[in-house]
Amino acid sequence: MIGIPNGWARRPSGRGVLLVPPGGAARGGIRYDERVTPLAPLSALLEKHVADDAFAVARVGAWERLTTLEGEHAAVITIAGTLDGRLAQRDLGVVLLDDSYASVSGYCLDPNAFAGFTAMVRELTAGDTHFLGVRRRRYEYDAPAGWQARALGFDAEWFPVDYPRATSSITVWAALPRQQVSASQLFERARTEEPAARVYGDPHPIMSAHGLSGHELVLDHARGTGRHVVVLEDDRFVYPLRFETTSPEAGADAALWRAVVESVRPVPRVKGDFAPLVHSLDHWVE
Amino acid sequence: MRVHLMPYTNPRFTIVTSELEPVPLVHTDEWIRRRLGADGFTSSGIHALTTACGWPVVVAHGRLGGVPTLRAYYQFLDLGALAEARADDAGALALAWDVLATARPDYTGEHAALVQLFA
Repeated sequence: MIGIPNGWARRPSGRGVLLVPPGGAARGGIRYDERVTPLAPLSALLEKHVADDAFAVARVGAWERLTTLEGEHAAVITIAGTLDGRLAQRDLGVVLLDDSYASVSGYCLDPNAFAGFTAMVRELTAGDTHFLGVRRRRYEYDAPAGWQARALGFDAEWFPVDYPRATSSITVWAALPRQQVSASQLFERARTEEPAARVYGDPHPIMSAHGLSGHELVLDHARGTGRHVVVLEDDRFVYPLRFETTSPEAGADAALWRAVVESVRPVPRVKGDFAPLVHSLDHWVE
Repeated sequence: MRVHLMPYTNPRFTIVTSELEPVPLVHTDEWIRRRLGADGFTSSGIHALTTACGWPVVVAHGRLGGVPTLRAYYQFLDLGALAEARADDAGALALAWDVLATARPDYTGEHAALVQLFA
């Protein structure tokens, strides 16, 4: 959901909404769509949304990362170009959700309004709301260099490209609401799902470089498989990860594992109440 | 998701591969044999081998439309893929196997992590 900027008109457009600025559509407009699938990388979304035979791209800016009022991941970008030989500008904002995304796509034909459109798309994107609440969330971390990942629902399973000859793997589960799942429950599950495993002491403290702290449990399976389970925490979520290898001290893979754990970032926080971020937004629309 | 093979330029054979697909949990061997035998392909022998990386692969040699053909069905955990090499002669098929043996899964296109979505 986005707001209507003061003085702008709202028109239904397909399954979305078109916002028309004062002065009419000859100056441009901003289209909003939500629950768009498939979710795709920003580069693919840019290609999809800017594909327009009439708009000649002159310069593509850099993506600016944002988090929305609700703590959802988002990004905005500005594209300069021409339309029928006249200067024109596209602005795209996307809000990445669990299985879909929302897009805020601006088209400005008035060079005097380029900066204003860019700011408006940015603010609408940052203020976009979906009311998805506290839930299982993907979280950010750095990919283990040179490995590839499979998506397993919300989770990611990372393998070296020469797996299974190289027998290490890293599983990154979704962050889970701490009110419903505790770190101790996850460690207990790790112990009981491998009853033959030898546990190397109690979980020991570990930290990410982004302010999350937690513990690491090290298990050694009877077949010689090493297993490390880390659960990081903040006041809202637990962030579980697992490393498995036939050689628990395999230097390079263990170093990658450490790097992944250290790189874990917390799920972005909700930014206070949902009072509109943009003061010019006078009411909300779906 | 697809099969990644070592690049090759040998004109004596051609290789095509399928997309990765789920492999059923039950009656897996029968299912693989059916995949290998699709389109009327008859083989003179089926062998269970492993790739250079250690992935299990079932290989069948035979002819399809009179052309020497080698089919391989890979199992990448719960996913599988069929590869077919065709050549003018059996010697070229042996060279094709050198390429087929380099197979590994390529998960390009999977969006498993936020870092991939921000790419």
